[in-house]
Amino acid sequence: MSTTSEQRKLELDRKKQKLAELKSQRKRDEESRVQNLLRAPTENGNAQNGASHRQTLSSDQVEEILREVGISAEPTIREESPAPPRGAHSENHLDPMSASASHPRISSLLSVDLEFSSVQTASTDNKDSAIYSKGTQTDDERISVGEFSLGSQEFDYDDDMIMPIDHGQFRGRAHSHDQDSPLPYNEEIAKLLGQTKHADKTLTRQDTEEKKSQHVQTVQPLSDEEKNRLTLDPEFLDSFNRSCKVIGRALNEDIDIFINYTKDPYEKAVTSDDLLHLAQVYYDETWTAKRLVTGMAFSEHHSDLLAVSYGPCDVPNEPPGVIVVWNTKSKRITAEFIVYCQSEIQSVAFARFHAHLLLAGCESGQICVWDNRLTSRKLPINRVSFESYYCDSKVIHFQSPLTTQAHTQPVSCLAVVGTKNAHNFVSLSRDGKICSWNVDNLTQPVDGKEMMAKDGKPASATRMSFPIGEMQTFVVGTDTGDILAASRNGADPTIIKTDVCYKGHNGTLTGIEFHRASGVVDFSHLFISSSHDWTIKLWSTKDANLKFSFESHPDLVLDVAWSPVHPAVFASVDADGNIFVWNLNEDVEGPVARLRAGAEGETVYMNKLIWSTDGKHVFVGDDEGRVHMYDVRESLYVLKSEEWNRFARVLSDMKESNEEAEKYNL
Amino acid sequence: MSDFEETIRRLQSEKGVVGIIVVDSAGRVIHSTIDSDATQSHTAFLQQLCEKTKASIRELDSSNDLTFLRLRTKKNEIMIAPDKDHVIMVIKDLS
Repeated sequence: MSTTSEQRKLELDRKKQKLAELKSQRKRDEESRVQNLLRAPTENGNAQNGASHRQTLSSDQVEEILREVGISAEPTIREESPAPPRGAHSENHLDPMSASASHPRISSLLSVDLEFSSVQTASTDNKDSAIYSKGTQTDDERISVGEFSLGSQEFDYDDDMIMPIDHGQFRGRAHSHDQDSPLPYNEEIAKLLGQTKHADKTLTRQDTEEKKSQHVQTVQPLSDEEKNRLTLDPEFLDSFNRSCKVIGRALNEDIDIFINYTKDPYEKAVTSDDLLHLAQVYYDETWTAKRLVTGMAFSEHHSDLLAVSYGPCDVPNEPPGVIVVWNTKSKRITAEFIVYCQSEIQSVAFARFHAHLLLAGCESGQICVWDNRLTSRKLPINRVSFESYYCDSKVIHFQSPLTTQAHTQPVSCLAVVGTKNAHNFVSLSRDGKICSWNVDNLTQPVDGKEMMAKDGKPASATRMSFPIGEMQTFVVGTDTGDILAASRNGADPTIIKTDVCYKGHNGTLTGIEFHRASGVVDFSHLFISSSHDWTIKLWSTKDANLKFSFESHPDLVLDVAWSPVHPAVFASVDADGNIFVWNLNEDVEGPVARLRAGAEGETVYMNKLIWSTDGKHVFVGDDEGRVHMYDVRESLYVLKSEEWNRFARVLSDMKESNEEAEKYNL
Repeated sequence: MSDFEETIRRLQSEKGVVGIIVVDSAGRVIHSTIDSDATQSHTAFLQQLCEKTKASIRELDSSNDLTFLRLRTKKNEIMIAPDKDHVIMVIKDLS
């Protein structure tokens, strides 16, 4: 057994050597001819190798090899029955054999290998790859340069083999390859290569010529004359008109082929940008990256300036508090001013009656003021600290002192109320302290009062809002969810007593705002609040029965704001990144527009929301330091006068249903 | 106004049509209603697409041929009507 296997090994080695010799010969030959084939696809290369094997191994050899490995080679197949498919198979079969000859385990597995003779699939496989290469041949100029020609020869061969009709031809070819092989292999290969090479060359030449002519054609445009001649040619016109009619019909066909009847209209609103459209994202890599947007305010003097305060970022040595004043009218993302201070900024406001002053409430309880005028030194104001933290060369920064008279807790809300001649700057800190200031003198507050809840305990306030044109009465949202309405000028110099307490929310108040749009009907008694309890509620200071709860948000509602122009429109954001726009004249149950910021699966924590002063855009600040500007549909800011009356009716309906519900409850 | 222009004009007056290009079978522009740069690029790419489509159709069934090609995209719809000696391309704005 061992001797036979050794013999076989030897035999195989010899064959391998022969093959290598042939290969190298062919390679040399090819190298000399095809020089531009630098990066011939390996696939094609393999096919070629296969071809060479097949051609070089004459059927005599096949027989010999077969006999050696144990099959008695059925010489009858070759000589007596022409049976080309079988002959072909045995030949094809040789391919994997000879390839595996290099494998050491072949000797032990010989019998298994022999069983391979049923590897008819292998031949079809070969054919498959042949078809593939053929495709590339027509496709790719580079491949066609020479590589494929051999392949194509081979494929012809294969094609013939699978076509029984081609019997005679096949046999002829089989002869030329298999039996006319008294010629030395090298010579045979050389001849073969030469032939194919030649054919190939002519082919590629034709190819390039064709291409060239086509290329030339595309470069040369039609002359006017030719065009005229063509457009007057009746035959051309005939076919042209026919095509045009087809196109005309296709154009007029107004069936929406993409209509999806199973689509939930509610879902549709989520993805639609019908009413909201992301127009711009304000962001600055150095100043705002990874910072939470803590506050936003529009300037009343320059309605295109939006001040945005940013919370701290993790990077050390970066100022914890930054305010960027963005120019929202500019097409480019433009930061007009950047200011910062050494305390986290909780809230920001423009001084309504001082166009150049920017106010900010700090975590420390201080109030910071920046003046963006060049000649700020002219100001006849005495301020305590003159730390000037730079920003833009124009900007000087001042800070209010930390005194017990003023705030000692984070200043969460700022407002400038009153008229040009009699106005106050009011600030609210988390401990419920409300300070009134004279904007011109920030060394000490005009007064500082503690906000007291109904039960006489200090209230921890989160948000505050004044009605339009009002400077005394206001509402404050608290941590517990209660909303306290009070008046600033009480008899007591140290505390503010709650006049009315609105109960309804079960979580911390995150946003509260009085109605802003003014028109034929006065709605200034309305205010709206958002809370961590996932709801938004509508209230009225005039009428206890007039209230409504909006419960569409799927997460903590973080801010809510009335449209400054439309009486029945407000917008809200939640922690899941949803932006809802509500139009109570159209729908009191759900938002008219829903939009989820960020990519699919990504949650953008939307913290703050503000409308532009013209009501055309909504600005939303997130926790990554981005402010998203959304364009709002025209219907939400170009309005008819009837909207006011409609909203009044909607409100009276709300009230009625509330009263009715109360009646049944009693 | 010639018959040809009249037809083009009528086609252009259809709702949403923003451009019409007529090229001959070799890809040379016979008529175009859009600027030359856009015409060039549209012609080059759409012609290629058309040829490729035609080739694919014929590969699938050699007795078959391409008669009309409609491309719906996010922004517009492109209709290509290939004929023996010319190709008409119409770009329709969807919004």
